Amino acid sequence: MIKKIVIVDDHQLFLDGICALFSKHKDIKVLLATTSIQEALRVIEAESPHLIITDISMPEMNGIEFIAILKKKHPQIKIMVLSMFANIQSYKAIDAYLLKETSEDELITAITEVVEKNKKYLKVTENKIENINLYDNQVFLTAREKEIIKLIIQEYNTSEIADKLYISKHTVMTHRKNIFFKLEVSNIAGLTKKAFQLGIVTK
Amino acid sequence: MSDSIKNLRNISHDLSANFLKNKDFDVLLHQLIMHVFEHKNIKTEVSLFPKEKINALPERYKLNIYRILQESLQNSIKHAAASFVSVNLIITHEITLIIEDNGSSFDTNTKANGIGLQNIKDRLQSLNGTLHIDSTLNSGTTLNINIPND
Repeated sequence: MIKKIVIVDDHQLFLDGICALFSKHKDIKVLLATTSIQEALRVIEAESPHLIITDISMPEMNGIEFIAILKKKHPQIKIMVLSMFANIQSYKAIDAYLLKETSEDELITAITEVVEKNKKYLKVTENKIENINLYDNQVFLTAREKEIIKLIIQEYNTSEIADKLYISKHTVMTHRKNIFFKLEVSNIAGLTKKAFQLGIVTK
Repeated sequence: MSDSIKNLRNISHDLSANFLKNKDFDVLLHQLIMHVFEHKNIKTEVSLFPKEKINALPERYKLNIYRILQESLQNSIKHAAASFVSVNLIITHEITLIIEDNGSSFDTNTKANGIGLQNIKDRLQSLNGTLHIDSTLNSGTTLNINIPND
């Protein structure tokens, strides 16, 4: 069976490395290895891969939200988390959990178990690096922040946004400042680019 | 309703300085929110950013932020009958805490609210912080709290 995979990670070097590794395996086909959630969602929609490999601790991409979207839209697709951290709390949505220090053999075994045998493969080591806690109400951007991002991109000004959302201009300005800080952008062009990349707005 | 208030009291009794030392602050905040909304049909979202900076806050800040959050969540449950509550804590050169709910408006004149608010204001004063409240009838309440971070 040829296993079709999409990989999403915030480190290009990691993507390059894992693609090189998979290129030696004829039964694994990497459809896409990307730093863009938006691009990943498009390819997932079009080509229905068997497995998504991603990370949960990508600071601004929020792998947790990405996983939630995947589970909702494509419940049949398996999800493997490859993380730098040990000791994840049990998380129902994922099918496999491995550390980035995992050997190639183990990674391949895990993919086979999950995709072909429909099994879970959750590896937790004794070797504790950092505890990572997952709460299902945890978000990177709040609903309000996303709403404001959309309105800023549609060229609404602060007063108009305040009127539309029934909040004060002062609060809109606070949100605006926070959004720019979280997304590490300094102007609307940068914000627009980031928002597309993160899938907050679509064309 | 009274159960969750009791829960809140229990949590606050547990919150000794040791409690703050033994657990990461982001975990404590998540646990507080989880306890408050346990068995409640209220949707929540929590954004704590950046986690490292939140966990590195001086203890005096942690304790006050914890109590302020506790007080405002109590308001959302007791008075506003909200079905959605959002908590957003961001640390830059200042500390911003935004708590939103979609409940009925925040009547700053009622006695109970008045006391809760006064507690929040007192705590903020000790940190030179400010409180800004947006409240429109039937469109929920936003508490926008700002504390200098130096």
